[in-house]
Amino acid sequence: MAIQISFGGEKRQENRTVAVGIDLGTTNSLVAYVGADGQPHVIGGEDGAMVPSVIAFDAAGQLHAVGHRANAQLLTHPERTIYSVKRMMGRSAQEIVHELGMLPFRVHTAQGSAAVRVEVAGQKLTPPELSAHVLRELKRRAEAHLGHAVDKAVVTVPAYFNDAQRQATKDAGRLAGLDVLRIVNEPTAAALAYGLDKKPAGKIVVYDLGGGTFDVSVLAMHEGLTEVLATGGDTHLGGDDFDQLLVATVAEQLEAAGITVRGDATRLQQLRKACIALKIALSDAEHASVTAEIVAGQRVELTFDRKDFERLIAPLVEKTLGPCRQALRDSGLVAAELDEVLLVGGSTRIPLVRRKVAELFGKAPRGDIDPDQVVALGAAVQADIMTTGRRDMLLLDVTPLSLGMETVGGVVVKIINRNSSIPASATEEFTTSVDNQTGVVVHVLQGDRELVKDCRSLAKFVIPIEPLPAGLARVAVTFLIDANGILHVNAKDVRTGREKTIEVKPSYGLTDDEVLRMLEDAFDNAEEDLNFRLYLDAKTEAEQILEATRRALAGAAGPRLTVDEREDIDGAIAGLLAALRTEQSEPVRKAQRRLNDATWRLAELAMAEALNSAVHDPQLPAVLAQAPDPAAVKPDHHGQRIK
Amino acid sequence: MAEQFDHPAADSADAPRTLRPWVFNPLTGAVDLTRQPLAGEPEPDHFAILGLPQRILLDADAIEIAHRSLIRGLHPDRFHAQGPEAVARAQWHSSRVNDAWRGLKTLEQRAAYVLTLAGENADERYRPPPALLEQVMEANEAIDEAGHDPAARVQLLELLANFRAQREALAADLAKAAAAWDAAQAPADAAASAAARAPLRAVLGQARYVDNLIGRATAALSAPDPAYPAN
Amino acid sequence: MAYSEKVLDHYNNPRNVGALPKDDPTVGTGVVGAPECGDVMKLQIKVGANGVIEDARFKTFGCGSAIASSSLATEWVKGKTLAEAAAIRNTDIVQELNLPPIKIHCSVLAEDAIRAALADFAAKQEKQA
Repeated sequence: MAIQISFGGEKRQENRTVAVGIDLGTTNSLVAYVGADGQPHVIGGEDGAMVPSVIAFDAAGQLHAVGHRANAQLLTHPERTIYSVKRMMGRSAQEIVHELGMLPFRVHTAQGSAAVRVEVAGQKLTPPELSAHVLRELKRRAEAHLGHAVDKAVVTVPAYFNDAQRQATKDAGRLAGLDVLRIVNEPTAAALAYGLDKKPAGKIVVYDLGGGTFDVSVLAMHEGLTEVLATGGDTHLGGDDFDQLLVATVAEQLEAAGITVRGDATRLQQLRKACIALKIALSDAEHASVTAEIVAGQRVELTFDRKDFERLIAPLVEKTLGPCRQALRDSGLVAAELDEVLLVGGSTRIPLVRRKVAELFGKAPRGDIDPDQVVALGAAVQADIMTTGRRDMLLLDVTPLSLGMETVGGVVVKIINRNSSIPASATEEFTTSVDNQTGVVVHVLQGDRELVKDCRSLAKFVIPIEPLPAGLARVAVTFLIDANGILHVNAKDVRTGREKTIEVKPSYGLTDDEVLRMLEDAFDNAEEDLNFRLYLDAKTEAEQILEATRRALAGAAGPRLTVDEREDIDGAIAGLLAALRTEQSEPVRKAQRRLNDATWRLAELAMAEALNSAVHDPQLPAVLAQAPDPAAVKPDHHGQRIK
Repeated sequence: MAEQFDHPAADSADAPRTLRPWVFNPLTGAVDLTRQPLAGEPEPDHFAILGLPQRILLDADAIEIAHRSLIRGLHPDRFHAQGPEAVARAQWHSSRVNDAWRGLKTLEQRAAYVLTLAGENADERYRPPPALLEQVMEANEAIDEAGHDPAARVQLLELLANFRAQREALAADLAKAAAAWDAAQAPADAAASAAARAPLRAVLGQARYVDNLIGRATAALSAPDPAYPAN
Repeated sequence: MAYSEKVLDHYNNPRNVGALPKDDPTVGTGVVGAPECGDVMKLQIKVGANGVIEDARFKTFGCGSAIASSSLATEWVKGKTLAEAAAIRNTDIVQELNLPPIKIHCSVLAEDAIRAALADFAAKQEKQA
C-alpha cells in the first residue's frame, strides 16, 4: 500500500529458514518439511508427492524436464531420458557393467578418472550432475510451497552406501545449491518418522525394500538418542529387479506369440510400464490383467497370477533375508528382543515380502505410514532437529563398511571396523624402510574382505616425509569418518609436530576441482533459479499487501470508498492474483504497483481511522504497528479526515 | 551449546585437580576435549575421555551413560548453526568420545587396553607355552583336514565343543585376573600392577588362540560339505 | 610403494610349506606363537654334516604377513651356517617385506621361529653327544 502502515496481524517471521528433508530415490524422490505444527509433511505437486527420478534432455543436450514430464519422454526418446542415476552414484563403470545392458543410455568412463559419465545428446554428464537436476526440482517445489528460499537439506542414502556414494550424494546437493546438513541412512529416517525416538527405549528393525536398493538396519533408541546397532543390505536389489524379472518373463511369452520386445527400447519401456501396473495390481488381487500397447496399434492383454509372480520373485525376496539375519547377529540381538519391525519402500506392499518378514522376525511388521513417504518424512524431522533444536534428539549413526589400509601383498589391515559409531577416528603411525625415503604411499580401502582386490579403493595418496635414515621418520596418520560417513585424512609429523590435511582424491568420486567446475557450469541454470527467487520475493511482498488491503477493506475505511474506487481495487486484486499464477517476478511487480496506486484513498482513510483511535490510546507507536480493530473504532470518529 | 564447555568447572570442589585439572562434565568428570592441550600434556586415554576410573571391571551402564552424556554435547549435529569450523572441531572431539567408548565396551577390550597403556614391555611379553602351541598347531591341522574328510567333520564338532568349554574357562580366569589388576589401582601400586599384568596377558593371549580356532572351526563346518554335493 | 615381484610371490606362492620328520636328529623344530593375533608358526631346519642348513620347511596358521615372513625366513636360512642363520633379525624381514608397524610382530615371530628351531637342533645334538 502507498503508506507504510502495517495492517498485518501478527508479525511475519522474516527469512525463516526451513531445512527440508529429501529422499533421493532410485525411481522416485520426495521432499518434506516440518510445519509450524511440528509435524512432518510431504510437499506435493499437481501430479502427486513423488517426483520420478527421471531427467529428460532435448536433442541439443539442454535440460528438457525432470520428474513426471521427463517420464513421458521415456517412450519417445529413451536415449536421452536418464533414470536409475542412484545406481551409478559414486561407482565405477566396472561395478555397474552388468546392468548396462538393461539401460537404454550409454555410459562411459572418463579419462583419468574411474567415475562414470552418462552420454546424453553429445555431452557426458556425471551421476552427481544428473542427480542435482532432481534435487533442484525438489528444491524448487519446496520453495514454491513454502514461499521462501530453501538452501539447507538433510538427504537420505541407503545405510549400505559407501564413502564414494555418500560423497557423490553430497556433491549433487552442492551442485543443486543445497547445503547438505547431514546424510542420513534411510532406515534411520524411517524410525524418526514413526516417532520412535520419543519412546523411552526400544529395539527396532527397519526392512527397506525400495526400487533399487535393499537395506536392513537394527536400531536402538534410548531417551532421544538413536543408535544404529547394525546395518546390512544389498545396494543392488529392489523392486526394479522384480520388474525386470516380470519384464523378461512376459517378453518371452510375447516373443512366443510373435511380438519381439528385446532390442527395441520403445517397446521395452512400454512393456516395463505395463509390468509395473501388473505388479501393483497383484498386491491386492490374486489375478491381474493389464491391457498394453507394446507395438503401436496392437493391443494385447497381459495376465498374471499372484502365485506365479510370487514364485518368480521368491528367490529375490529370500535374498533379502540373509542380510537381515546377519544384521541381527551383528547387533547382538535375537528376534524376540525386538520391539518393532518397520516397513519402508514401495516393494514392501507385496504380500509375499510382508509374510517373509513376519516369519523371520516373528512379529507382524508395521507399515502404517506410507512406505513411499516415510523416509522423506523422517529426513524432514532430522532437518528440523538440526535447525530448530525443537526436539532434544541426537542421531548417532554407524559406518556401514570397515575402513582399512593396504599392506604388503594386497592384504587389507582394518583400521575402523564396520558398525562403529560415527564420527570415528583411528591413528596409524608410519615410518620409512629405506634411507632418505621422501614419502609413504597410503592406500585406503573400504570393505570387509581381506584382500585389496575384494575391497573398494577409496583413496591413494603420498605422505611427504623429510629425508632421514630408514626408520627415523615418524608420521601419524589420522583417519576420521565424519557424521555423514565420509572420510577425512590428516597427517602429523611426530618429530616436528607439523600437521597436514591430506586431500583425499576419491577413486570413484569427483575431485573438488571437478565440483567447482560443475558449479560454474551450473550458473546457466542459476539464472533460472535466480528468476524464481525474485518471483518468491515478489510473491511474499504481494501476499502481504493483499492481506493488508483485505483487512483495510473489512475495516471501517472500507464502506467509505466510492463504487469506482472499490471496483478499481477489486480489479487490481484480481490482476495481482492472476500475476502470481505466472510464477514470474515481473508481472507480479507490475500488478503490485497497480494495486498500490488503486489503494491510495483506502490507505488514507485507514490511516485516518488508525490515528483517530490513537487519540484515545497513549501508546501511539504501538497502535501504528498493529491492525486497526474495527470493533475498537468508535462510530463518532467517522468522517474525520486528515490530509 | 559450546559455551557450556568453554568454561570448564575446574574449581569444583570434588574435581580431582591433580589428575584431571580441566574437568568439565560434572556428571562424568570427563576431560575437556574442546580445549587446547597444555604444553607437554599427555593425550588423555579412553578412560579419562569418558571420565571413568581406570578399571577393567566397570559397570556396563556407567560406560553407556558416560558416553551418552558426552556425545549429546559434542556431536557435530549440535554445531551446524555455528558454521563449518565448529562442525569440524565437533567431528574431531566426538570421534574421540566414540573411539573411547568403542574401545572400552567389553571387559576383554578394557583388559587389552590397560596392557596397551602400560606399553609393550619385552620382559612382560607373553610367550605361549610350547604345549599350548603344539595343541593349537594340531587343532589347526585337524580343521584343515576336516574340510576334505566327511568323517572328520563329526570330530570337528566335538573339537568345537571343547574349544567353547575352554573359552568359558578363560573368561572366568580373565575376570579373576582383572579383579587382581583393579585391586592394584586403588591405592595405585606400580609393582602390584606390573605383577597383575602377566596373568592378564596370558589369559588374553590364550583366549585369542581359542577364538581363532573357534572361528576357523565354525567356518570349516559351515563350508559346503563335500559329502553332500550341492542340493 | 611398489612391492617387488619377489615379495608378492611369497604371498601368492609361499615356499617350503610342509613338514620334515620331527624325530630326525638332523632336524630342528621351532613352534612359536604371536598372542597379539593368535598366529602359530612351525619352522623346521635340516642341517647337513658340514653344519650348513640343507632344507627348511614351515607351516603357519595366521595372517598373510605371518605366512610371508615365515616363507621368507625358510628361503633365507637355506644354505646358511647355523651362526649365519642365528644372525637373521626381524628388522631384515620388515625391510624386505616392507611390513607396516601393525604387522611387525609377524617378523618377530619368524625370528623367534628360527631361533627356536636352532635351539631344538642344538639340544638334539647335545643329547646325542
